[in-house]
Amino acid sequence: MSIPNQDDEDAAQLKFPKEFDKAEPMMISEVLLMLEQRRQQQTNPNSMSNLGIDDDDEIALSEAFNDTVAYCERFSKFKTKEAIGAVRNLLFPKDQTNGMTTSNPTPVLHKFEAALLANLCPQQAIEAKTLIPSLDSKLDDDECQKIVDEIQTYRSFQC
Amino acid sequence: MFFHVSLDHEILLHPRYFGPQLLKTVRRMLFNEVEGKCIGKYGYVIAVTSLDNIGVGKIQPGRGYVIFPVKYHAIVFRPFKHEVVEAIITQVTKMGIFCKIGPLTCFISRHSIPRDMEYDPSANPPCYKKKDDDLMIQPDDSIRVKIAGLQVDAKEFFAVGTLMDDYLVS
Repeated sequence: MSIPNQDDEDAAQLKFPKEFDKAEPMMISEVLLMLEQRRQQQTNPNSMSNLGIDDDDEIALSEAFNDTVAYCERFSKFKTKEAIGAVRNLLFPKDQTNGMTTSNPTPVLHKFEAALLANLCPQQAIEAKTLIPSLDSKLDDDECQKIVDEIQTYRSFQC
Repeated sequence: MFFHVSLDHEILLHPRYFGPQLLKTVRRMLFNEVEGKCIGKYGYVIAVTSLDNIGVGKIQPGRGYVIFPVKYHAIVFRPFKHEVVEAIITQVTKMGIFCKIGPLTCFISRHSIPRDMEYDPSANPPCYKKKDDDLMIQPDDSIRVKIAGLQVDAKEFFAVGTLMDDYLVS
């Protein structure tokens, strides 16, 4: 448990501590889905069995948990599972399944950049590049605008 | 940024728990010991999503306690330097603004707030606003912040943010 060394991390240059090599960045909307599921299990303890917890165990939800739920509720950009899935398909090429390849212009995105794009939902290419400087060297403005527009489309066509 | 990561934890168990409920106790202790806590390198553990493996317990010589190595997956929140995030304002003061990013508290100093925004102590609640009044920062607003620096003390992260860049604030 050492204190992170500030020098070897910089989100703008995509420099992360090595512990995060295998970590999977999550969109806020996904986090919200999972936390809500967890909260329901809490109120309906029989379903906790998949975590190996029985109903007579009481596990209080932490303050950090509640803060995070409030935060995610406010900043979650995609409300439906379909929209979340579609955005994930667009931005995380690894999850790419058959037939979607043509609509995916983003094979070069780092997972961290992809999650940031989905969390911040910038509206213009220049805005996206200012917020996520590492995009600048990877995408030209047109490519970037295309991705940004597509995210906005998913965002506006959900009910 | 939120991450889904695989983590290890060691549970130190008193001998009084040895019995038919042993593994259940280990599971419960894991939840109690890691959820909501901040662990140095990984940041805040928000929720355990799955328990992958409870290893073989090892009796500690001379003490009777047993250590169980546990592998689990969890959602963690870890801020990074120069990351842009959205935040909820909690407090506005003359010195600057306090905001929350999930479990993390972030302070934005007066010097990192654009010059053309002025502190207005007479407003209720106090706020920062532009002279032409169209942009205001007051408690419970949402803003975009860039994390300028991070500090870790015993059990918590503390972040310093800045609003001095394009496309920040709102």
